[in-house]
Amino acid sequence: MTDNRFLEIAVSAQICALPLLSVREVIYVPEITALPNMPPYFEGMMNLRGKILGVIDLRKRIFGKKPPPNPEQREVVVVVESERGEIGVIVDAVIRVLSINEADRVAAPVRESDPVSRYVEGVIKKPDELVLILNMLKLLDIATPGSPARSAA
Amino acid sequence: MDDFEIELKNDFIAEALMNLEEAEQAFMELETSSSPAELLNKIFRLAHNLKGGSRAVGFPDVAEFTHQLENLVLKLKEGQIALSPLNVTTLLKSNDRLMQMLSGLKDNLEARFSNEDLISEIQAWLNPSAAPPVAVAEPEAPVPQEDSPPLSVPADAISEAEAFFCGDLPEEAVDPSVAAAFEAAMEAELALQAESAPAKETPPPPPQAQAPALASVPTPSPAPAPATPTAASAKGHAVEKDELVRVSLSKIEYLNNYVGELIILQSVLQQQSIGSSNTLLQASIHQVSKLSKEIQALSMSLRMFPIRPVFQKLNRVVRDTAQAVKKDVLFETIGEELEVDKSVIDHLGDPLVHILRNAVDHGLEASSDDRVRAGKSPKGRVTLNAFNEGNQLVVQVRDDGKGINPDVIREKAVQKGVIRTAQGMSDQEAIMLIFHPGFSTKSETSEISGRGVGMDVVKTNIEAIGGKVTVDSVVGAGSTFRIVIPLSLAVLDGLVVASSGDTFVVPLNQVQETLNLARLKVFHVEGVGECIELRGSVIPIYSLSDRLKKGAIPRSSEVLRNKVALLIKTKDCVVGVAVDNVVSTQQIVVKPLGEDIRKQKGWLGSCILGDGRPTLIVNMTELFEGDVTLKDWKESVAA
Repeated sequence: MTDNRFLEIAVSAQICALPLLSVREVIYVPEITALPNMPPYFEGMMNLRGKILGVIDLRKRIFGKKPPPNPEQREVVVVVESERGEIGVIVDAVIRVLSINEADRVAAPVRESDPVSRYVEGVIKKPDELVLILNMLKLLDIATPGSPARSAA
Repeated sequence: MDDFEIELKNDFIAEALMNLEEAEQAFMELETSSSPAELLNKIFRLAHNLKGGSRAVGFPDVAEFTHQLENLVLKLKEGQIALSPLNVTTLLKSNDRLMQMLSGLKDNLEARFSNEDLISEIQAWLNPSAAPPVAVAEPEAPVPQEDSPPLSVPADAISEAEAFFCGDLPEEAVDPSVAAAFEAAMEAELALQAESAPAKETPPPPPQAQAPALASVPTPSPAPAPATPTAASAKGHAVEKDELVRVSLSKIEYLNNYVGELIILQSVLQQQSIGSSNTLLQASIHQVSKLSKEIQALSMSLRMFPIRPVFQKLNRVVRDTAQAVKKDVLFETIGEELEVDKSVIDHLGDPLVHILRNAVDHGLEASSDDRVRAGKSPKGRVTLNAFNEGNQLVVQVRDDGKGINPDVIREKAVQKGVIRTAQGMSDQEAIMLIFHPGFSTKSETSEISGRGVGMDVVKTNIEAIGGKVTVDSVVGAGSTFRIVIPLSLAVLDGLVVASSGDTFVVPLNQVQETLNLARLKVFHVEGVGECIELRGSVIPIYSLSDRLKKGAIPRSSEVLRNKVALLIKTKDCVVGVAVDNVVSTQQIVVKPLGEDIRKQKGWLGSCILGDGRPTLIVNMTELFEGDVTLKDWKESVAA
């Protein structure tokens, strides 16, 4: 069964989408405790009403770095549930819930050289832009190579 | 099969499984009891209920089997067959078979079973070729209800409480339509759900309750409708005690989680209120803190269960082992009413099975003659004892056998290559070698124990739940195994420490002592690093933050000067772990880390501190275990 609703999010300059049914909630960034010995995009853990969840920064995960702070935008944590449990994902902003026609959804072009395409499951065609549907499992998998910028960081 | 029927069957299975556990206990007592008649009555009732119930809900294999079993119990009860360990074994085997069948039915309600083997074993008891008991059996058996309306039975199959109170009455007297019977059964269940538990907790039924059950056998009296009066009588009995209700474990776990959060929020409140001039606020927060602590204590106690069921199963283990190795064993249990956290109970069974098998097989002398020659009673004695010591649970297994000879252990250990040399090894150290993987003193392995894996597993299992196991043994006088485990796995006493700007929690039971490094001389040992000398031994010092970050280890005597060292005993040796300072000790609720975080070595879990911040709990013994430097270090010290 495929659900055709997505949550549109801003990750740096790129508009991405997460399957709506995998999104548990959206909160402002809470206090995060760093953990030793984790990849740079892994921010640490947060206390979500008594439950402890890991937090990753999606900007660092995909693009290897955070954009400069934008005073007009407040970063948020999207709590996402996947087969690997719940995790918090920091993004620049949540834009809207998107309901699409199956016809608007196309397979993602595979370009191994592009770090982003490794995490992309599909693309939503909109009149003025393309929205990338992210594959959370691949994003969470530490074995998936990160962007080249990460090793430089 | 409609939903109602499925529910009815499942209810029956759940109830029957509990009955079987009780029956097993009664079977075990049969061998030692001075008044087996009472026990046989009880067993008979249980078997009878099971038979009626299983037939009514449509489990013909179970019904047929219990019918045979019931006949055997009846003959034992009436003294036509004398009780012997051999027929008790048949009874226990039958009980096992019933458990198997019911578990099988639990998975598949349509499952069928073949019990020809055991039925013929029972038949052999019933019809020994010489005896003429066949004629006696049928008329006297209070079980000629083959033709009675079986659908009235669920009423007493559903609740054990009823078993005590109504015996055969409903079967004999009631002849309702199918629907009416089911309805009555459901009513009875609803009415009894609350009361069934206390009735179960009263193993010997009060005489007056037992009387009507027995009386009903010869004279089927005009019985009342099945549901209402039994419920009432159960109630009448329960009033004397506190009433009990059955609650699912997951509900209790939810409650505990929320209470844990409440406690955290409460301490956040308390911290925020410090310095506030609002006295009403301060007083209220104080009040809330008192209340929430009481709620926490209560909710924690909901997870506590008596250790009795574990002990009961062990009873069986000792009996079977003793029979297999042909030894005469007197098994005593003390402290079975002790209440222990569910999670601890779940982890305690297997290690105790190993230890008890060992005590009977290896610990006790090979024969009663050997014991008499050693000036002991011919019967070997094994004692299982549980008690609380501080915040910990102690379980001891003591045998009065031949004890563990440290010289034999040393010799074997060298022979098996477990150790290179036994020189300088104390007797106590030698005895602890029995927990070494691949160590077994018995030359040939036996069915029961002696594969050389048991004791190793015991140690690993107990340590996995934060416990310790030790042995004391006196040659010729016996051995005592002592298991010490925390009362609860969910809550632990933690030491909150600060290290390089981060806060961590260390389980208090891992810390042997804390040392102020400013008062000790820290010196550098080439190839090892910074060390201190404490009471004659040299202890390496590591920085916690450096260690956690796995990076190079920049240690210098200067850096360590103003730190605090926690002494941690690992498998390999004692190490000192330097932290900036110890912030506090506090009770913490251990929470699992997310999937993506879990895999790191030395991380035990996380918890939420008073200020609401999530914090890492460090498993020190794991973090410093298997360290190459440490192993070399130990060998160089030993050399």
